[in-house]
Amino acid sequence: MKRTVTNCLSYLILPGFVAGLLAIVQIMDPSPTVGYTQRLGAALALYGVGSLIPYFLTNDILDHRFGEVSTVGGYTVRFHPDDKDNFDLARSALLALLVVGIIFWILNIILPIRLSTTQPTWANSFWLTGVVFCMLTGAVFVYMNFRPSSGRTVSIIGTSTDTTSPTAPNATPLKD
Amino acid sequence: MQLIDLLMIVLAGIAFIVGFVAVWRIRNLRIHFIEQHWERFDQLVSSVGEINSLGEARLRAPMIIQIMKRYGATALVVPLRSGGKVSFNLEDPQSLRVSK
Repeated sequence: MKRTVTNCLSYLILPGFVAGLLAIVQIMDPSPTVGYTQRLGAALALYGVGSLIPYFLTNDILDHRFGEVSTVGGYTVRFHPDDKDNFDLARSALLALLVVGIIFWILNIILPIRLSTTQPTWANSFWLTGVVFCMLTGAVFVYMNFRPSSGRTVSIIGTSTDTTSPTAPNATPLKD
Repeated sequence: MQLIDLLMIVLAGIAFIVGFVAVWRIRNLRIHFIEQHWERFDQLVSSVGEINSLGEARLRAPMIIQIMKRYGATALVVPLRSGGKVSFNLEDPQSLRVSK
């Protein structure tokens, strides 16, 4: 639990680090065409996009939240069978979120400059989409971190006859 | 290319990498979860023990279902010594399913 809270806090603090770096750049170059908020919106959208990539590179995170927990000593420990459907749904939702994030990032670079003459209000407030997207990916991160482990039921599936004494998880090549 | 443009590209890369690393670090949560709960899974499997045949599975079914309830397992599939597998399901406790 402590580890999870630490991870969540670190995720939420890191955008502050990015904002700080951008503030330093803004002090060096107080550009009248590209404001601090516009740069911040684009950077936070890209931060969100970057945070979504690991969900596609490894199944461990989604497995921890939804699917299969382990295959150890001839036994597979799995949560509710519906979790398999939830796993696939989450994967699709994350892909959609990734596409939306990339679109927001590109729009945060292009739109504020293009709209600055015709729609200044839109141009000045469009950076908020980057912030909202970053917060959304933060919510996804928190959701993936927390698992209602206590009281959660499991299915235990034996896959071979040599299952009377399953080995401890440390003895299997589970770790990356 | 101006220095500021270069800085902005570098910062965009940093934002991307920082976001990636923030989430990449949690990929071991699954392993930690297994380590925390492995004892429970191990005790369940040890309590059930070996099952030789479907007849034995039928005889021991009430006791095995009690063990499953105690350890919070909804389904248990045990390989039979005589071949095949037998599955116990708490959602349908009257049925024992056998598969080869």
